[in-house]
Amino acid sequence: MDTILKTEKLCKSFSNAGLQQHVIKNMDLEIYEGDFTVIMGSSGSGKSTLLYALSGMDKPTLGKVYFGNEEISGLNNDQLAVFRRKNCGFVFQSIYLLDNMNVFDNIMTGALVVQKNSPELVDRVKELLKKVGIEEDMWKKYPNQLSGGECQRVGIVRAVINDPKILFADEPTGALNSSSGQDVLDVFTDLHKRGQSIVMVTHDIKTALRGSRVIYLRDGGIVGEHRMQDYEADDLAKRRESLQNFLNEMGW
Amino acid sequence: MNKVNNKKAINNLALSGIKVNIKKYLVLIASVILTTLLFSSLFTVGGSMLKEIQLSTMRQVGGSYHSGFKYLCQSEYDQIKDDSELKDINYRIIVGISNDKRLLKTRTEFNYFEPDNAKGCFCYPEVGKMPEKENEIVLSDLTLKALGVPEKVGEKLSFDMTIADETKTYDFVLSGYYRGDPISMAQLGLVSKAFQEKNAPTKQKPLPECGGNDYAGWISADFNFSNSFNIEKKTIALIKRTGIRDDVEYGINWAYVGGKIDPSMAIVCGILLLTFFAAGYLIIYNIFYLNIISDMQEYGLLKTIGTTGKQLKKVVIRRASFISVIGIPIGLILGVGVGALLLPIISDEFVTVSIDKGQLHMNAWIIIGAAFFSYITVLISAGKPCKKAAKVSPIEALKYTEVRGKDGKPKKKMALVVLSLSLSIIVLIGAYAFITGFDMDSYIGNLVIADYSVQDATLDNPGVYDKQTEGVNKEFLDALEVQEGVNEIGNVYISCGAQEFNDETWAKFEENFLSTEFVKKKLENDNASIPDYDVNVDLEYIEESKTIEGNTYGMGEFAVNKLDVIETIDGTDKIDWNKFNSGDYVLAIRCTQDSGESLNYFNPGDKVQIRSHDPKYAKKVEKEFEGKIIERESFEDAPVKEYEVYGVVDIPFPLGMQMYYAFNCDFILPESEYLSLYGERNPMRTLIDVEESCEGKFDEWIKNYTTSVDSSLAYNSKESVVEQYKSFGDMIALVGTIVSVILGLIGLLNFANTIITSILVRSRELAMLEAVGMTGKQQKMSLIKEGFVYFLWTALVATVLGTILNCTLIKALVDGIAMFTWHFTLAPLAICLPILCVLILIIPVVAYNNLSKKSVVDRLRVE
Repeated sequence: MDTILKTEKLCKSFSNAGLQQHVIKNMDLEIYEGDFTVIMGSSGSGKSTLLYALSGMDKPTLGKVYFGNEEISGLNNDQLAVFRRKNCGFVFQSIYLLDNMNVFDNIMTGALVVQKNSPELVDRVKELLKKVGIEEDMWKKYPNQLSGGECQRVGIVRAVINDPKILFADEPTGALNSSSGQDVLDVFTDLHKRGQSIVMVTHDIKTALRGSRVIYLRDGGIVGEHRMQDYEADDLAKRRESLQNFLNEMGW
Repeated sequence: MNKVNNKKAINNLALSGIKVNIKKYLVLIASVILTTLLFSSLFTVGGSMLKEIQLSTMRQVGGSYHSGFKYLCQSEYDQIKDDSELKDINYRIIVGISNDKRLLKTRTEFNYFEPDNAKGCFCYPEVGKMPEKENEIVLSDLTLKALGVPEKVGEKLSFDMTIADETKTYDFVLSGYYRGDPISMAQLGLVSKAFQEKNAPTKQKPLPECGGNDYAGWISADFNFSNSFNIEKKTIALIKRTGIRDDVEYGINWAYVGGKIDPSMAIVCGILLLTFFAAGYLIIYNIFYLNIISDMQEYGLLKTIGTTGKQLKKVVIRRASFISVIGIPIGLILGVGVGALLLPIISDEFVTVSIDKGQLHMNAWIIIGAAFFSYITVLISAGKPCKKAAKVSPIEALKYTEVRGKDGKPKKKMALVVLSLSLSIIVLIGAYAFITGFDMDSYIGNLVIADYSVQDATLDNPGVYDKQTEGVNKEFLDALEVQEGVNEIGNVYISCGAQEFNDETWAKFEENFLSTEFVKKKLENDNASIPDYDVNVDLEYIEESKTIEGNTYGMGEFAVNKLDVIETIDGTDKIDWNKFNSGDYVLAIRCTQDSGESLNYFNPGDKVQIRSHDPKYAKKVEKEFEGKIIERESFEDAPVKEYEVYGVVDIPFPLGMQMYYAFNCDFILPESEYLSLYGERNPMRTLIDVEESCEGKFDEWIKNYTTSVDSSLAYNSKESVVEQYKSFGDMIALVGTIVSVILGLIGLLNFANTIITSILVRSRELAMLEAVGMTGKQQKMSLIKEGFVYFLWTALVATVLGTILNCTLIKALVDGIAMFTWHFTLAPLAICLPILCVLILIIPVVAYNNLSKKSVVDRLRVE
């Protein structure tokens, strides 16, 4: 598999009230194209920080991040924004839809940042919305008129509308109930099956089961890695057992 | 249920909210400061001007006491002096009046004053002391000047004084002096108790028992009540309560009765008050509203943990009070300072006092009033947002979003910002249109008809009712004759009174003038303020008396040439001086309504009779008036001469007697004819044209003459009118600019706050957009576009409302003032809009740059 993202000696520190907190320490990591990489670890292990550093949302303190052959750690804010809109999609735990826009406009806003308005684009938005189970009668609704799961599915459509090379997700089911969470994860699985590279942060084993590669972090460093076959519903018990064993090994 | 004392918790919540968001509240404090500044400067100027007008009236009346009794004897004074309702009481005793040639223009009354009474009557010596020895006296600087005595304590002087019908020369030593005010009806001289008792002993018997016209020795008691409300009622009650005789003469101080406030000034103050209130409300409401919106999740959280709506209201009100406690005192100090700076400039444009003009008159009410208005503005502004915070349900509050328009901007907030931004521009448009409406030529034309016009100082002084109409004395005219560069001199004489005609003329006058609808309409308009006014009563009175109000002028050729000729007997609009001067003709004035409509009293060719008012024919006659016998001057034995009306003219305002009567059936005779009919007398006014090359020298001479040689004379010159114009224009410009700048600051503060708050509130939204690839440049552009929408709306609203204001209120105001000419202008827009546009481009960029110092992730994490 080709490497899509790579870090070299990645460090990220935060300074809080004069105290330096080293969240990511000298990390070397490769993310492969078409992989569904899941980042796990206990609270404070640096999962989200790593995700944001990988995606160009935040700049590393030291070290380098490569997207393909291009180093993105040296880009300025505007260059990073351009990089993100060309290559990345984001799904957040807190969803962050624009409250003053309806479902359709929320997605269109994400799209129009990158591409021009066209009938093809509109058709694609409609197709994607239908695919994630958001039917036409909901398209004119505002975020506060939707359930959490529905909002997150809209969020995923917004994240993939520009055909990102890589989709980043930070605890996408964290704020959802079990049934909504499963619906959302089905969307991710479906995307992965179609070849979408995904990097997802989670602390939920059910979510992690959907991935093909699990990386475990502790104290800002990678302490283990677990590779799985692509997710199939029928081998769920075996899959769960092997992942559980890995996580037990890691001290989960 | 136990009552919980949660005051401390509420206070903590209120204060901690401010501490955490101090920047947000600084804007609010600044807006409270500006609002208070507007109110307090208005109150300072308004309060001081009112006090100045009141002082001016008091000085005219001669005292600051609420009320007074005249002609009391000692026992009557003793009867009232201990009344418990009186706050204070003291007295003076009338001694005599000046009867000295030098004091003809400076009438001086002599009294014994109790020291406190002297203070209340504005004549307590500022230099020296009250008179104690018999020959000691205190005089005003004006009396001293008229007497030619230097202002020096210990100076010996003597003059003629009439005491009880006996005129004698008295010798005095000056024990002190004070600054006299020329607007006072009479100057006061203070003699000692010893002098008074010797020459005008205090009366011991009540007036009705004494009889006669002897005023000397009577006590004038002046007193104050605890407050100035209903002083007439209180005075009458005092008469009844103390049992003093019912017919005691009492005087109420007009200064406390009111009615002296110029209605146009009251309207201007009212408009300013409302504008300031609206401006203050708009900004404070808007900022509070935005603050509450941005804190809505905090309020939701507080509600989820059990805080009641009432407690949330208290939190908001505490915050409002806290910012008021900081903002109002600062605003008061600044406002009083601005007011004090403006006061002399504004006061200068009004005829009030001449002593301590433009002085700051602070009192607690100015401070309390301004603070009260500001606090009320804050409370009212906080009221609605406060209700909003209290009403919202916890869950709604937690995920609170505003109601927005199609473009995603909150509609109501936008309307408020646009209104507050527009308001300052609209006020500026109004002020500018007013200032530029000032028409120098028409102003000069209205006030100056010759290079110079010399008259008695009282003549054109609207504050003086007792005008001297024969003020231009021979000494001045002689001195004028020998001045270099004087081209022309024109005298204007006047005899005030009424016109009477023979039966034939009266019948014609009645038919052509009195019986017309025009006259009815004029009387009704003039008396519109009198309830149940019956025009027929007045008409019947005129018809019965067969006289009509009207002055007779005498004018030389130079002055006649300045008249506005309407029509003449020759059918031209020119007066043939030689024909007019033949002694057979008279010019008649026409009657003009406020609306500009006019009607001739007499037409060219009509015959009129003019009776001489030569003092040598004057005699006293007793006449019954409203059931009483009154004594009046009659000229019934004076000769009457018939003239033919040569033409109908208007007398330019600066040429005539500047007094208003219902009817001015004035006639103008040639100078020589006038003097032969009315007898030799001094002119009312002398017009002078001077060669341009000699103007500077002449100006110096006349200035010196009217100040050092004869201060009773005053002069108007083209130069002084231009100066006056400039200072008047400058005053309007200054006040207009200050008000506009403050309102502009409020508008900009509001705009900046709206944009900044909107960016802060939407920081996560913006971060999200940045996360999905929107660059900073794109975001700034979007914010600038948003600001530009505000700008476009502001331009539209300011243009539309400014145009409406300009074409209605300003037009009405400007057209109502003689020397103003209205013309349409929106020039301030051309100045303001580019500035606003630049700020609209800068503020979002600065605010965004500040925000983007934090990483996208940090901004996304902000709840």
